[in-house]
Amino acid sequence: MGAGPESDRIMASLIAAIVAEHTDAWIDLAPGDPQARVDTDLALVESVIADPGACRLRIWTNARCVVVGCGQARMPGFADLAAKSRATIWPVVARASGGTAVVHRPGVLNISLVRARLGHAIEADYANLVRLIASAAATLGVAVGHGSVPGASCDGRWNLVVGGRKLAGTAAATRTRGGVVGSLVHASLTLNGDVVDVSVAEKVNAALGRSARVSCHAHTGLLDVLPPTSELFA
Amino acid sequence: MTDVTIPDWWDGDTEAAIAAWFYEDGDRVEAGSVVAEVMLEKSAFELMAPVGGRLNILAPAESIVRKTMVVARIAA
Repeated sequence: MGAGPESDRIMASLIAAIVAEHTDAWIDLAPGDPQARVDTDLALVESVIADPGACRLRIWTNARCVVVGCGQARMPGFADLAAKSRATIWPVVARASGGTAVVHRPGVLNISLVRARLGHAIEADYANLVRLIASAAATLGVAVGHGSVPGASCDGRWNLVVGGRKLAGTAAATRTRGGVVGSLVHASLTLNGDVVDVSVAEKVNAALGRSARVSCHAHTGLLDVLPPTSELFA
Repeated sequence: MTDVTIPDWWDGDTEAAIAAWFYEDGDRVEAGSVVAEVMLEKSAFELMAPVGGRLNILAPAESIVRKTMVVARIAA
């Protein structure tokens, strides 16, 4: 996992709590190319789309990179930015879902919910993902809600929120094949918060022509909001 | 002419946007091809051509759209 022993321990606890609720979850912590790791989510959508009713959960990590939304990946400067970034410590890659730049790195846990069904139910998918993560966080003594966080980077209605600060962002993409809708709803949850994340993401947003007033104080990490151990195991 | 409409993809009457058209106005498209991407907040949806034919775009990229809105027509 590589984000430090405390982060690794909490990540293992969170994963265990999620798996307790979603028993066929795919725990995918293998190293790999950052873009390929992101693309695996969409491959999962394509794999379930032939089976209406199918539901898969992927819990995964990624190497250090910045992941931009599909709209940003179509911006004129993206190809050049991605090419130049490959030689840096923050390669820039793209995802199929919306939103703006977010950081992946050790210490960020990704949770992707993939479903195939006849018809769209994206709001229900968001709600299910949020419920699953909030339930897992509750086992660690953390009360997680959801909603917009003004001043947060890549803000959205379905952020996971603790104490008014953004713990995780979410986004979604759908694919339709023969009337069956494959949906991907995913979250990137920060375990150990790092102010560098927001700075790096916003530099990429600015390079792609989008500047926003954001604050690292609008963000938090799971380790920062855990109750004292004495309360957790009381 | 066949209408290309924004389907009933989400709850409520929220506005979305045409993020991109993948064909130019006047291009020929195949039935079932993805002609545009629609963005609702941070959710990306593929808009498919219901029939094959020549695409007439009514709502250009970055237009605000709502469910049931006709955003293009396809002439067989």
